[in-house]
Amino acid sequence: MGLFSKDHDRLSDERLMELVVRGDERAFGALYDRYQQRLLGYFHRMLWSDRELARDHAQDLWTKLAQRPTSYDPARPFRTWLFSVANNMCKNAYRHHAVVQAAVPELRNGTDREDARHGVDVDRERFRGRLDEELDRLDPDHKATFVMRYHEDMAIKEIAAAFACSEGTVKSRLFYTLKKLAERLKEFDPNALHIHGKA
Amino acid sequence: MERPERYDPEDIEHLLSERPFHALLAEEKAYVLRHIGDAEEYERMRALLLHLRKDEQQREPMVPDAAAREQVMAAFRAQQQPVWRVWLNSIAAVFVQEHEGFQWRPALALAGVATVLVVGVALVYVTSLDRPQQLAEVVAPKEEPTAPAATASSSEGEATADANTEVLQQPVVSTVEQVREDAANERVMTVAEEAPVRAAEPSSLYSAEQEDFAADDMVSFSAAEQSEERIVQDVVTAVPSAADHRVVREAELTRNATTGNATGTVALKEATAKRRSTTVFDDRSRSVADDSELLALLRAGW
Repeated sequence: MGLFSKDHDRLSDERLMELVVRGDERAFGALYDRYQQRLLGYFHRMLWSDRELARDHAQDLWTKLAQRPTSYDPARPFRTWLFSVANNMCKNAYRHHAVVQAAVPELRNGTDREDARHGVDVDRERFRGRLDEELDRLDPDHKATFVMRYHEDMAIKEIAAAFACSEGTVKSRLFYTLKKLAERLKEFDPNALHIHGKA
Repeated sequence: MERPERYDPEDIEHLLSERPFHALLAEEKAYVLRHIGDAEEYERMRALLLHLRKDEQQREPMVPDAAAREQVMAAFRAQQQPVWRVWLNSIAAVFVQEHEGFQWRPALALAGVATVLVVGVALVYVTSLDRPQQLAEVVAPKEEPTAPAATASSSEGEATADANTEVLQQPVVSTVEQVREDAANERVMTVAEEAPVRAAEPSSLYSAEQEDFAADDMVSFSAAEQSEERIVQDVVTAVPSAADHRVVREAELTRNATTGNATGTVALKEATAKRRSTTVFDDRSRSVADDSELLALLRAGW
């Protein structure tokens, strides 16, 4: 590595975004590599477990960022800013989905839920399917909060920053979402599933 | 007094993650039971929470597509490349048509641009011919009347005052012709400075000598006669007739030196003043040379 070259993998997100704004292609590539998989997972969870839809949305987000890197607010952490943008895209997708469903009621949500194609336990897959269905029935903000917290493993503070709300609001949403899901999924025994999955 | 809560309502998640219901303190159980129905619900929620966290780790992540990455990076490069390159690319796309059948399009466009350029240049050239090429124009002064005012002291003062007033109002214009005219006036003035003195001499001499003629001898008479003859001849040759020449005075020269004469206004005023003072001029300029009877008497030796 040259004397003046930058080790982009060690730089913070915010520093990388500074370089991106200045036209550093490697910095943009580093950010893409750092967050693309997480964004795909987030969109996959948020958009009815539809993989293609998740890929399209992730691609759309990165393309927007590539075309307008100055849209990033340097005062905010990049991670929370990125997920807030992704959350807004999901809300737009929900509105579009609502219009489509109203026009064609027989259309169903994403159909590529992971089946037992890799030999994974059928009961676990059924549980995952039910969990995703119940998540889809939740309020978008509660669902997004839940996904960010338990799937993306984001801190309460980060989620609050992404939604521009208080940490108490985030905790309250998490508690009531968890309570609601536990009530709706009480026919499954998570402990048994977990043990069975391990076996 | 109500005891303040030790935990916030949202902090049940922390308890759910940490301990089962039977491991909670009595105070914690009381707090949990204010938000959750019973111990069974607490355990169900706890099991779900733990399962979610472990299940998420076991989920097969979505693998990013390499082609998608390349597309995004291409979009970034396209955004970062200089504008002039984009402009050149678009120009090239216009001139190099994909289908050969459409090559007439750039040719037509070029011909149109060339036509517009030629017409524009021609228009600019034609319009530039109509416009004057200089910022200011030197206007030749009008011909001054050749009959300048001779000296009329009373009216000349007024005319001078008027001329001076007009000089202040006239625009300042200096031309080569005026400079030449000034030089000529200067020469005339040199002659005119001596002319009135010479013209005045014969009359004074005549009146003085007239009384001596009767008493003096012939020698003195002849000497005086010779002297008279010479003076008269000088006057005749030196002082031209009023019809052919004029005497330029210093005040007039001053006026001529100004730019007011360029328009001829001052000269016109002077001509008017001269006409008014013709009588006075004739009386004052009367000389021996002008009086033919007196000359005849002098020549006859009277």
